[in-house]
Amino acid sequence: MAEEIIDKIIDECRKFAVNEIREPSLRADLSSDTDWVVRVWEKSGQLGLPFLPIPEYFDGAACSPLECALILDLLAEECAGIASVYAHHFTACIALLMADDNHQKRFSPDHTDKKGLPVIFSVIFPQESNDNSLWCIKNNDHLIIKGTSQITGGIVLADGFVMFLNDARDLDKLYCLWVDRSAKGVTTGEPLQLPGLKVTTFGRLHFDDAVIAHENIIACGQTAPKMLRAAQSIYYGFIGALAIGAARGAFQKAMKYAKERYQFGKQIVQHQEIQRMLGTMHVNITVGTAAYRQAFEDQRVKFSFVVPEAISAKIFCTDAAIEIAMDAIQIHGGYGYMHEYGIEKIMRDVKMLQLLGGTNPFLEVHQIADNI
Amino acid sequence: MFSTDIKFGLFAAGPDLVATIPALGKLDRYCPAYIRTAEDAQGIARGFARKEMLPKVLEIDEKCSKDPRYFDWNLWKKANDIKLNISPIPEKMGGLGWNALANAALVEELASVCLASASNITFNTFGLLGAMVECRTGVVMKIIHEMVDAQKKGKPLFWSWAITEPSAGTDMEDGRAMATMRPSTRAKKVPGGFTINGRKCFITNGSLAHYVIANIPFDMSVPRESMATFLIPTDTRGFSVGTVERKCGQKASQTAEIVFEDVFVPEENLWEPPGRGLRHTREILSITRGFIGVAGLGLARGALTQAITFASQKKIRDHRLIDEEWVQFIIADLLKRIMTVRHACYNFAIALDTYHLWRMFEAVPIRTSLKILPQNFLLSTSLRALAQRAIIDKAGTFYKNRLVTDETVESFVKHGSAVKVAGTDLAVNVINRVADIVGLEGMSRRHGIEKFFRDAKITQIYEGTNQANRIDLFENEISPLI
Repeated sequence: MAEEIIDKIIDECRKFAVNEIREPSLRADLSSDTDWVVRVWEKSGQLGLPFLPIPEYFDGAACSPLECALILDLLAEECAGIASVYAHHFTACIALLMADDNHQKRFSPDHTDKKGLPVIFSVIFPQESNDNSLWCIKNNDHLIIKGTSQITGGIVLADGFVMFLNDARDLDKLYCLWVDRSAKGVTTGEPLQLPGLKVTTFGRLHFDDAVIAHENIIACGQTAPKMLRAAQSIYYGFIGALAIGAARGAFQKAMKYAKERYQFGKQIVQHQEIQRMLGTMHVNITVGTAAYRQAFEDQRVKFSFVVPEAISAKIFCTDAAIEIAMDAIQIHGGYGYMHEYGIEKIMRDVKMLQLLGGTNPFLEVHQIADNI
Repeated sequence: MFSTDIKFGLFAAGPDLVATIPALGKLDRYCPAYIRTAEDAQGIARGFARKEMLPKVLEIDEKCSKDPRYFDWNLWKKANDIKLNISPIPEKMGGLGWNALANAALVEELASVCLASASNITFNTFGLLGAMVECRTGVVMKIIHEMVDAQKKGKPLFWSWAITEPSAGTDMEDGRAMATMRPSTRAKKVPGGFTINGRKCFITNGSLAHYVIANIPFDMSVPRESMATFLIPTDTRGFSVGTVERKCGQKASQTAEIVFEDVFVPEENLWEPPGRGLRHTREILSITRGFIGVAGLGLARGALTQAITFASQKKIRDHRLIDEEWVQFIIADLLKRIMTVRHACYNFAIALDTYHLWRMFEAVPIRTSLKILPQNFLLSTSLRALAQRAIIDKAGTFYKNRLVTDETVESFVKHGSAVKVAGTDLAVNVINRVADIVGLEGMSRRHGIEKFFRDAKITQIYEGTNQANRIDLFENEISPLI
């Protein structure tokens, strides 16, 4: 996309985030207010935010994954929780873009929910463990699914899910499916009560012999694994962007406070130890931004991404972000621990980002183990 | 919330102080009673933490999330019934007579379940600690009597230590910083006593306290030289509670703003004259910083216990999460850190018993009095009246200052700062790595692990930020040498 156009989109999104997300996000966090998310979603629909990655012939902005990541970054600066809703939605949208054209009809402007709001998508990746097993069996031209899915975001709000899972009879066979939340046999599990990203709501879907009709099988065979790798890579890249955005928000708050707070005879920003802490934050935000941008540099959407790079970006960005958030609280002293100052929320949100898509040590091990 | 299958930490088969800190074996040989007291304390604290705290802490945290003023009086009462909140008071006078080592075990065990509830139970020793800085016999006796009387009647007697102000956190704890601080409180001499105006913030127990020990300057332009220490009953006219804070964690412990509007304090409640207030603060910190390190250690151990439990139960294909080598290496690394910090913490506690305030309880006059005087006389109003006579009142101060000098206090500020930073950095580090083991599923509320995450961060901030503690460490240890 032309630079001046994307700059304008970024600018509009930033204004939206400051005006619509900044102030209410703290109150919404206190009560895990998903109704607030719906209100923001509706308003953002007028701006075109949910349609950013969607093709122009569906009235979308046709933003690249990198451009979506830049916007997620600035949304997360105001609230990582609501930005995470968009991140899950964008991942699902971009996965759908890799499918055949007839699956992209879900992007149609007519495709709204019962209240006329743009539909919210999310994405479900395959199971890692077998204590909540999920499997599907092909029956003629449709699939029957039974079991419980992996944890995903937007479990309460999403209207539909792009889901990847293995065939029970042939574990090497992977499907990519569209799952409508209101389909028969599909129920939402109890959301996890997490300390951060509270408005995203995370949980599992339960399937009780749910039938997935042929038209909702998005891909199988060779295409599904490629789509999975690409979707996972985008997801990890998005998490990195969210983390850096949240961290940038924490850094700016810490910088502002340090310039105002007087202790030990001067503004605390004059103390070298505070300068060191802020300096380290700045380094990590700079490097983290470069890391997640690098993960999206190769924009061959229809081919497999270099997955290890995106995982590395996620690991670096989220590890850096939690240190930044904690140091931002430290700079604020006692004020940093109180809810009304908004810093401790960033720490809680970033901690959850660190755990999305698998914990970082797990990913570090498996990005090697799965490639040897 | 917790499983009892794994015999580690809180769920160990029995008291294991000597088993887990082998150096205590030498002390066990030469002063077995000292070690027995500490192991008994550990056993009692563990039992209380398992039976009374564990089933309730998540529910209490949830209720405090909705209402920061919620307080679980049932849990407090159970602690009161077994005297955990007056543990250092000599046994013959109605307490448990627990030394610093025993109190360290108490704090570690309670904190391994919930640091906030541990604070609610143990914080009230601040009353005794605050009085023992100057150690006027009459004042100490009065406070001991009040605490013991309240315990017997099952009535709460809460204390707060009010030093932090809106514009002064670190500035209230360091001499150089205090010289330039911008106070929000002021004391003024009036006939019969003093009046106090202003506000303090982030005060633990501020909304529950019956007594506040507050550091207030007389002259806001020279705060350090005019800083004094007052004892203020909170039913005094003009005292009020402002906001009770909504915090990230440690929700069960109430943190409040307190306001003074022409609060009158009589002469006898001036605990430290102008210029000695900082000294009072430093002496309290020289004890309490180390105990915050112990609390951090407890939290870290509790978090690790939960991680081991979760990982032992979580299945991955044909094995458990804990069977994964990367998990085992993280656990081993955390165990190493916990073990080494634990040695430091208990070393500090034994040092307190050897060189600091607890020496008073071992001093010949005190030990002899406790041995030969009957209990009803020790708790009598006539003994209290006798103690308040000038010569005896001052004798306490004189004796205590001989045992615990300014050099001792600053030495313990140094050691306490090191232990505080070690224990609290450990708490934050351990819970962050525990989250790496248990993942998103394990951080769901019901497992109790996310509560440790929310509780841990503040330990690096209160009792002196870890940055302020490092300044003290450098100033005390290195500055004199260079």
